[in-house]
Amino acid sequence: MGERMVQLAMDTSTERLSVAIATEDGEVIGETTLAAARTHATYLHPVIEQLLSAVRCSFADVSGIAVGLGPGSYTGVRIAVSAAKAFAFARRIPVVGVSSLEASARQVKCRAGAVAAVFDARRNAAYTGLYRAGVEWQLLAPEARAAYSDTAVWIREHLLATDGLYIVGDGAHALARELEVLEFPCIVAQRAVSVVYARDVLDAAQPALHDARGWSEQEVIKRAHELVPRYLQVAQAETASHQVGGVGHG
Amino acid sequence: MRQSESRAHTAQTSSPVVAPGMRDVTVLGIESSCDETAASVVRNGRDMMSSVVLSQIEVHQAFGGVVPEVASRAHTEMMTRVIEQALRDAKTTFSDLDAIAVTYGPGLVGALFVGVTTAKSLALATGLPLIGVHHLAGHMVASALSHGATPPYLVLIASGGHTDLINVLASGEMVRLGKTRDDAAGEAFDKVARAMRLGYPGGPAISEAAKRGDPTRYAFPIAKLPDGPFDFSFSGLKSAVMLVLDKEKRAGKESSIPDLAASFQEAVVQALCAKTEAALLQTGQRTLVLAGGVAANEALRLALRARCDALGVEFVVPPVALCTDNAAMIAAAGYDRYVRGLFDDLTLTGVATASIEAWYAAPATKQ
Ligand SMILES: [Zn+2]
Repeated sequence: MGERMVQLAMDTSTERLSVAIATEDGEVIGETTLAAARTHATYLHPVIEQLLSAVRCSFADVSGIAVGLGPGSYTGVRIAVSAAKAFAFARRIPVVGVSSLEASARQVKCRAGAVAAVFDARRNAAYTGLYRAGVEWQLLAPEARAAYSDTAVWIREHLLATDGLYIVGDGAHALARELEVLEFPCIVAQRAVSVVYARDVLDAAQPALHDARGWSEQEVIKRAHELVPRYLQVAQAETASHQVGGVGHG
Repeated sequence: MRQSESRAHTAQTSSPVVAPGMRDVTVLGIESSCDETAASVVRNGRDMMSSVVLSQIEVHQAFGGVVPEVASRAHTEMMTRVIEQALRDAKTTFSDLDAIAVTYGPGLVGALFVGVTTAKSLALATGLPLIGVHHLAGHMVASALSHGATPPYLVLIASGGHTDLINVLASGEMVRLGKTRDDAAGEAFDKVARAMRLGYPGGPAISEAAKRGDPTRYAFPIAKLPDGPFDFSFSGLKSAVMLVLDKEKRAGKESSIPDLAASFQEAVVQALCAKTEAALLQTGQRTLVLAGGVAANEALRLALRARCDALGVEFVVPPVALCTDNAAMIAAAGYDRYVRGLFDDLTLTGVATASIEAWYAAPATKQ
């Protein structure tokens, strides 16, 4: 152990739990993705520990961390983000957060055209991210929780039908139906499930992880403290429909 | 950040319990089961080197109670900062620690996940052993931190989340004698305070209003539960208060909030005292330990002290900062596990309802 430094990436924003380990130049040497809905809190750390040992590394060999910030399940995103913050804090190594939507879009291995990542958020709405694929991915519209119909209208107004539009995520079919009404062509990625592969989190985080090599220790700790999930929805708005919990002080 | 004076309680503690020649054991405790984000460093289960408690009360005040999603978000934002502060206050680094202890339950499951996930990362990243602590066990050992209390004793835990009577045997084994059937004592205070428009949290507000009121003005019922002599029930009492408010309002009368508050508080205190006294008599315990946020209530402390004096029972109440949720009590309970060699693996997770007896017998991940 200790002959090489590695980077660790993780995402728990969807029902899938994904962890990847890569060399410092970005070559993935280990990845595990589990369909483990509602058990992320239990299995994230055992998976990381096993993966590290499988590639003959210890935690002391980890030089940087990339984490999917969401959006997605509120409880889910907090697990990877809390874990990543604490790893970075304990070992004084940089942590970089990226959009889980963007990482998810990257599983479409095209180098041109547009990709929509759509995670269903119930009530006819979804967390949506729209990107221009390429060597450097470009965000076309701010990620948001939006109605499928509004997203479809935006796409028709801003994208060219000839560009080619891929859709990933468990909201893909719902968005495709709305686009069909507007006669805008699109391709739904084979299985319309929401999944974020940790290798894609790492990919999206690579430029930031590279910059992070220049951070001072103080900066490393500050960034770890400041890292927060990307909920795309304020808790206050949620609480209007939420029951106030029974548990109080003490 | 509210911080209890780092070493204030050290002077009162008894001599270290570790055997002579045994080296010091330093434990980092983490707590996030409800609305306090807390971390603490405790040496040998008794010497509180730091205790940082970040209360979210102000965030929840706007909603009149704890909103689980809001609590989880706040824990996520603040947890590593609180831990850093606790380590700094204790002039400690990870290399000085012997174990990481964390509350795994019971509590708000989303909130528990934040603390447990953080603790697992620290354990994995540093190689330190991980110890899952039952929240109520933490409340019990708060008396060890403040008074050096050791079992056997009877514990009454009264808080916003719990109302429990627990018999702790000389071996440290725990048996829960009674629990609440519905609302916790502190929860009843919160709900009644809301009905009387006294704001949140309800405990201090009612206690303050009650000082100007007549506790005999209204005779509120004390629930009798024949099949559970040590169990509590506060929902009937809460309804009775609301009924009075409603009746007086419809009669065009303005309710006397101080009298209502005093009468309600009296009923809660009498219920807690009666069951506790019965449990003392049945178990023959010679020490009563009071724990939980409701221990801050002066009327309750006075009434329990009077009963204990009459029975010749020693009455132990830790200072308020140790009665309300904190991580020093979690670190202290973690030390007891460390000494017994009871550790958890990385599958430890947050559990909304967790049995104290099962936890005493085995680590959370080995039950
Ligand atoms: Zn508590």
